[in-house]
Amino acid sequence: MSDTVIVIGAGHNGLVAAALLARRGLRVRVIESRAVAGGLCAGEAFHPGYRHIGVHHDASTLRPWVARALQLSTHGLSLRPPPPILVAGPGEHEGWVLPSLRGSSDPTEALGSGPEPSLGEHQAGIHALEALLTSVSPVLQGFLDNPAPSLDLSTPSWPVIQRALALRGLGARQMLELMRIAALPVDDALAEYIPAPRLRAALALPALIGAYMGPWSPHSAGLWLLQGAQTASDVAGGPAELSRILEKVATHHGAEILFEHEVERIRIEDGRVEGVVLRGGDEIDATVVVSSLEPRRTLLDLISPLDLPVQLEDEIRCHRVRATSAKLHLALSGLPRWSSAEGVFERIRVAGDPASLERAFDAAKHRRLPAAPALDVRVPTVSEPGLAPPGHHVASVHVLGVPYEPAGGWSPEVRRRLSDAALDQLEEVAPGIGASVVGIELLTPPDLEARFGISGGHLLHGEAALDQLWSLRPGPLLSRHETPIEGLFLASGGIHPGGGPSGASGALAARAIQEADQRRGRRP
Amino acid sequence: MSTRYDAIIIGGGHNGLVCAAYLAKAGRKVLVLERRPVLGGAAVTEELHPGFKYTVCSYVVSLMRPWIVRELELARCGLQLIPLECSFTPHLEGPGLCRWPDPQRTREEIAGLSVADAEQYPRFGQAMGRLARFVKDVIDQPAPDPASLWPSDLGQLARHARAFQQLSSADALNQIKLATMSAADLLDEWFESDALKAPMSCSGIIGTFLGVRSPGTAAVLLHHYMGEIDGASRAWGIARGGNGAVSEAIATAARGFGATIRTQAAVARILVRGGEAAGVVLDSGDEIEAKVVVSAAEPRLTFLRLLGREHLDDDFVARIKRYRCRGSSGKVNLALDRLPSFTCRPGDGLHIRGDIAVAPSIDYLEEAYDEAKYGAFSRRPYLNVVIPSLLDPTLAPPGKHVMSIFVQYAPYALEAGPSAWPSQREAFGDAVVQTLAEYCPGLEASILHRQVLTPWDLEQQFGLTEGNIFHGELTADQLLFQRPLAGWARYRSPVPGLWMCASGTHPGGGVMGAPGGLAAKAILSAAVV
Ligand SMILES: Cc1cc2nc3c(=O)[nH]c(=O)nc-3n(C[C@H](O)[C@H](O)[C@H](O)COP(=O)(O)OP(=O)(O)OC[C@H]3O[C@@H](n4cnc5c(N)ncnc54)[C@H](O)[C@@H]3O)c2cc1C
Ligand SMILES: Cc1cc2nc3c(=O)[nH]c(=O)nc-3n(C[C@H](O)[C@H](O)[C@H](O)COP(=O)(O)OP(=O)(O)OC[C@H]3O[C@@H](n4cnc5c(N)ncnc54)[C@H](O)[C@@H]3O)c2cc1C
Repeated sequence: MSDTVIVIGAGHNGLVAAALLARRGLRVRVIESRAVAGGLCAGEAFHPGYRHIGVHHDASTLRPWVARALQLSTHGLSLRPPPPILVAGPGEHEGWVLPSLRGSSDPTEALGSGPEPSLGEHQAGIHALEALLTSVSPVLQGFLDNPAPSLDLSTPSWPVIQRALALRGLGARQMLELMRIAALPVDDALAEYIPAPRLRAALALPALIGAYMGPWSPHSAGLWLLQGAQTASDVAGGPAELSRILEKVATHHGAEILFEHEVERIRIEDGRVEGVVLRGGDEIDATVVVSSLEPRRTLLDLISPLDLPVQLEDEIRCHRVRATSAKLHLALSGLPRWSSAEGVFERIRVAGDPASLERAFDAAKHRRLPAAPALDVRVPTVSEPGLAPPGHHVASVHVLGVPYEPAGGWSPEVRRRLSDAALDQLEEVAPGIGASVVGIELLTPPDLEARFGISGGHLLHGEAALDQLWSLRPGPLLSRHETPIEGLFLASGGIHPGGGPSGASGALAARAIQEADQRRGRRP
Repeated sequence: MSTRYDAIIIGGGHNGLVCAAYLAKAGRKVLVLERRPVLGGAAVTEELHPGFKYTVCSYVVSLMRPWIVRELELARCGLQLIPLECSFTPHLEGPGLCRWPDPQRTREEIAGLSVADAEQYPRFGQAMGRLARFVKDVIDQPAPDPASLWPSDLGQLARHARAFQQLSSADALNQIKLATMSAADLLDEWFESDALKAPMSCSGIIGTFLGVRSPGTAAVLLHHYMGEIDGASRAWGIARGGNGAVSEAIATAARGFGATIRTQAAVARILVRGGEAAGVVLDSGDEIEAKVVVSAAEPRLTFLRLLGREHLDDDFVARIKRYRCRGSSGKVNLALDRLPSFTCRPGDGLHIRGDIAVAPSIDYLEEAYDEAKYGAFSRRPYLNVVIPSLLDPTLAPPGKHVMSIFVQYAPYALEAGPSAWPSQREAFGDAVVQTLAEYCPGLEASILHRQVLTPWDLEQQFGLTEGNIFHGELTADQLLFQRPLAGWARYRSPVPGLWMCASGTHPGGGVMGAPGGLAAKAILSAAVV
């Protein structure tokens, strides 16, 4: 039947695309190789009795317009202000409690509770940074929330003009300031507001997850601003809960999810999609296939080289996917006690100072293990005790400064050294935490690659970089979600607008399919 | 007797001289004041060992704008450029890599590393060449101003936009990638051989405190393809007589048009009367008046030291203070008893009549950068070596040679602070010579005299703030309409009567004369003198 749409992969983007397409009345079948939905956002048991809330542990990047389009709040989505962040230091007076700097909040979010920000003399600097983000975010969100324009320059492009006018709408001064700051190393940009190096490192850290950059790399400030603009309200229950809700919404609208089925190949005849072949040999016919897999995998592994136009191959081969972080899940017998602050914290950053953060990147760059990895920590059991046995806790940790593969490979001994280095870092700021560890799961980039089918083990399906954004994510032929292969659409984070769990690529892919249908006069 | 000048130029670097020449040519009464005993600033030749003339700082020429050479008749004033014969990358094992002006020979060389790369190399050159033409158009006129609503500015933006539109989609894509990517990443898209990519990537890091893997460094690759000597694109050369000869030729032109040039005349302060620049006060205490004062010194020096923040609003002061000038380069000049011989290609030959890059791999270059980031000079640095006496025998006694070694990385801010440089200068010089000697053993024994310039020395001797060779880093946040600051990229300053004309203004550093020429045109068309 010509209206069948196959969505490959039930990650957040695949589910968003499936839900939106099913709601239009299309027959949607989602094919997922694993037994659970959510992909990198799926909550899973990693040690008997302990669950994490996703390899991505922060869902505050969910775009509000996607949530509205799918009426997620009526399906149980509960928003709250992102919990404050402890900038953990080794000594009693060496910590700060940061508010989450974000571009927008949802007016429907529930009130937050928990520790109040404590910033000491940096209050004014943080407020000034917040003000900067608030003023530039609408412009950046305009880039993130709309389809990427074509780079065909022969005709003036309305979307490009629109973005240019929005930029101009900031006023000359603020426009120039945005252009200046975006090009800076994030540490230099933050230094204009925050004199304390350790606070700067902690502020910079999240923008470096998924970037092949250190805090001293030019353009990292641009990524920082984009991330701030993309950060909105936190989803209660995190990515795991978001995945559950998206799965429910997709099936509610009639999408069917086939778990534990793996697409082996996308069938293409004469440049047009015909369906997919599953491992085991079963075939499913479809005129539209939406792949939410990481795009290198979709194009290079699922499509026969004979069916792949050479320009597409060139474009995707240039898409850079060098991971610089690993993921660590810890099962803890008690709540970590942070030496730098009293109280219970759900989000903690262990970033050292900018130089040590830069050294962590050096390690990844030169294929070494980091001596002092930087850590982005979430203790989800603080708000959801049910994830672990009573009184026990879970720590979900992005470990920065990790190469795809250290020189010499990932032996059990090398893996051990990495988790030890991360635990040493934690021990410094939370003495005793090491003794409370009852279970560990370490996911190196190759582990992530094998488990989730993401090339390079890259959590964002492709590096965040100014040349891998917008119409260049992953390149001019593929960034508009529709591909030159008729009926093949891409809905991964490796496609504009990228980023973490945002649902935006899936939603824009669904829109591209609708527009393609309208062009062909298939549907109103 | 007091003489009132139309214009005083602070600094006799090549840009100050170009500006002076244009103003004098237009009939203005011009005075150039240079602090040092010799003219030229960072484009200077000095005989520091009897019989041996060093091209002390800058050593190769290519970006010198042809319109300036023509309009100032610099050839008639003695400027003569000699093209380099080769780009040689010696290796510790194997024959090393030579890239020659002859494409066929280059292709054969590269094919020894990778046949695919040998095919790609000319295509890459052609693609860059097309983009270089687009960029040249940008550097030969004042910076576009995206914030302005004046019809003439909008018109200029529209012209650039149209030129961009006329690029093919592939070229436009490359242009965007050049502006955003790292040199190493961009070259990865084209080539597979690390030994080829390494020396190619180096032009992306010259003068910046960035590594070949730092985003933004691809942009500078283009510079490489913008060179012109005698109308031949892409050739690099040296000036007969060293780079000081470039400055001398411009000075000759300026004097010919009636400009007065004084050396050993350091400006202590810019005179401000009634909120307007009215002249300068020299170190000697002398006051000289002029209708306009044009600074050819680096912007932070100009505004914070020579002008003084009391004449500026706080916002401007805050912005100029954060203008980024981190020095990262040093220079070692050697007088040699005999020609060095490279193990991988021994003896004399065309291969050493060009530039010689110690850049064996991308990782080598990146490690050199990583070491410097934390406040130490690279123990195994990137070197760019030229032996100009091979092409220009006037620089050294017969049979003897001068060697110019450009070095990265030498961070201005050593861990122990910049003033620790004098105590590390010789160790730095040793590291440079030892690194090079690995490729040409016996080098040490042939050294008759050595000059080591650290970033600290560049600041002390040449007035280059923090030793930055380009009067401010050439990164996207301070190029074009943001050089040196957004709103002040058209050679004017917040103080009426005070103008800027050197590398800290659009289009930036390098021996090209464009800032000086464009500034003079701006001053003349503003009809302030
Ligand atoms: C080591 C080194 C190697 C380089 N290599 C190359 C190269 O190979 N090719 C290339 O194209 N570029 C090279 N460059 C860059 C290039 O030399 C510079 O960008 C360019 O020469 C700067 O010219 P300018 O006229 O703008 O400024 P400068 O040459 O810096 O001139 C400024 C002048 O102002 C004078 N001055 C400062 N303060 C005062 C004062 N108070 N009173 C009076 N006078 C004052 C200074 O003495 C100086 O002469 C190199 C630079 C360095 C340092
Ligand atoms: C401050 C400063 C600024 C500098 N700026 C530059 C700069 O902008 N550009 C620069 O080149 N060097 C610059 N240099 C010198 C530079 O570091 C070395 O000269 C450069 O690294 C050597 O160039 P390459 O080996 O990459 O040569 P390439 O340009 O790749 O070429 C090698 C040789 O082959 C020739 N060639 C290349 N392609 C072709 C082709 N398709 N057909 C025919 N002939 C061809 C060239 O003319 C040249 O003779 C600078 C140095 C300093 C200190």
